Amino acid sequence: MPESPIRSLELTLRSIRFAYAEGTWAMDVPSLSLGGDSLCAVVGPNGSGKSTLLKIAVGLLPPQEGRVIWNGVPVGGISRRLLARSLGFLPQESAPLFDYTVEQVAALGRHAYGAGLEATAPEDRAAVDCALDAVELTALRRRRLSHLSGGERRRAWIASALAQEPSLLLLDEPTLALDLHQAASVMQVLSARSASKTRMVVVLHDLNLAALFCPRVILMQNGRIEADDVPSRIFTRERLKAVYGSGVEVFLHPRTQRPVVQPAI
Amino acid sequence: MKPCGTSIFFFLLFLLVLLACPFAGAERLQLRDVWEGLRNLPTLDSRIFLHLRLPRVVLGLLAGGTLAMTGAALQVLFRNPLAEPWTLGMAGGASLGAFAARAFPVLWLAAGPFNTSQVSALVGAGGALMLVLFLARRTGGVGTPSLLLAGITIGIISGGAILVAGGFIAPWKLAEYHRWLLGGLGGADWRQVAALAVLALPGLVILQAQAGEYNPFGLGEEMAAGQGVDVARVRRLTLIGAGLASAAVAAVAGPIGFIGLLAPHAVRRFIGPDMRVVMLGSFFLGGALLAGCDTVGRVVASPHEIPVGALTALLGGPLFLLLLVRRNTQGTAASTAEGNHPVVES
Repeated sequence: MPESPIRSLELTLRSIRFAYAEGTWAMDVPSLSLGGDSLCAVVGPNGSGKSTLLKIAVGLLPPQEGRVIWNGVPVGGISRRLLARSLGFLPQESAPLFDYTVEQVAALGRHAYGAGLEATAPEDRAAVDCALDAVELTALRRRRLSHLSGGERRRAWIASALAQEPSLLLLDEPTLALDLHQAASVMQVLSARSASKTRMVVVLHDLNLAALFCPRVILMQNGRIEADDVPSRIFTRERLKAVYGSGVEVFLHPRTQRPVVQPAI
Repeated sequence: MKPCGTSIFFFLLFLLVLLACPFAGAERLQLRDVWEGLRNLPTLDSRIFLHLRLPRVVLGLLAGGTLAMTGAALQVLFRNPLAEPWTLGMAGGASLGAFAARAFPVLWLAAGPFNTSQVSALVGAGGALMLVLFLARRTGGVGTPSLLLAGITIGIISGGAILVAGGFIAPWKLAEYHRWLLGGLGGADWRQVAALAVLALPGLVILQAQAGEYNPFGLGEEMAAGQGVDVARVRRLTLIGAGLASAAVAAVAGPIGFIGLLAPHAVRRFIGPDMRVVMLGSFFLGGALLAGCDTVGRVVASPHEIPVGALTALLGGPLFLLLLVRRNTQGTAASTAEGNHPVVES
């Protein structure tokens, strides 16, 4: 029956091996535990296996070897519906088939609880309202997706995942193709929510966003976890050069004291 | 707009067609004579009503409803608003199978509402669908126009095969032969209604049982999986249900196109995208559309008839082209990217 949302649950990956048929690398993750930190970033160059890691972690991609354990149970052994109540996954955005309203997109997040396109049960309504409030789309809740900006659309997608009220949410590039302010506002939403209700693991392209918002960063290269640490120890010139292959400069932001990364030219 | 309230409108339309269309046709039936004949001794009017007109209208309602509901489900499953049994080649493949069993006496066996043409139609529908999916996955993905190109081509190949086989069948069977090329309800009787129902109803029950799971598919397959949908299971059941349903229709009426496109699009326009209501609304509207078109085809050309497949093509073909043009002028890039990533293969 439904898991109570706020509990420290742990998603553990053990001796994971996975290779695509036409891939140049094989994923090899001996041991990884997610969910212990409020907001965890997964970074690395293009094609380093960040999305693959996420899909394996939520059980969408069965690994060739190894196990994924959620709350003591293998993810493959739980029904998707029951799993979705505690473990959420927000994939990269794809074009919607129909022109839903913002409210309907959020209500779809309640699917695992048996809700339809309109959330009618009181707890579904409350979750949808709360999610729309968190992403600041309450005023636009009846607006259709085709009438939203890129950033608003992304926030509607995130509202859907938040309405699901999982205790751990994995997000694949939620800031992709957003401009600076929209990306920052998405990260602020995630950061605020992760501090209270839902722990999050976020695949990010932008190293500065990761450094600014995430207390834990996982750095990937060629399907392996190169480093898993606090941002100040991940974002060093030597480490990033080793992974990204070209020179980078790393400074400390004068006010936040967070690392700032720029390519060296 | 209240989806349930609007869907009652489609139900009323369905009822109206059921009650009114049997009275239209080459022979004008008087309501009073039919009523008399049904209550007391059969009259000519009541016989025509009961044994010719009513089974034909019921067959049209059931076949149209089946095609429309199947189309609505396939459009969501493949994330392709132009998918339906005809455009996916299932109708053509099933018709080729059904035609083979009827045209060649060695292949024909019947027992009650069951006969070998249903089996060969199922084989044809399943074979065509597998081939279309295989071709689409190799050429860009199931969300793309490749899917339709493969499906329509397989439909044309099936039609070609029927024409070739037509050269070898007994001459007195030629009268039936056009139905398998274009689709029609000529010569409908209660046995055909039974033959359609035994195969189509299980298919429709399977599809309607998935209706709630179809909603999250609208945001993408991976998103649906994240929201708690067992994508592989829904896909498997939908393909089985759609295969049963389209084979059932093709086995009695041939490859009738575009009802599976017209009805779901019209229904979504009026009641929005909630699939649980869209599926039922499509059934009622699709049934009314097909039976209505068939009645028009019987009445305008009487005493000849226009095959209903020709009328649905004239009505639905332009919609298909309109949607194709609109789709290709906006946002195909996103759907292509989606099509390339089947998360969970069936």
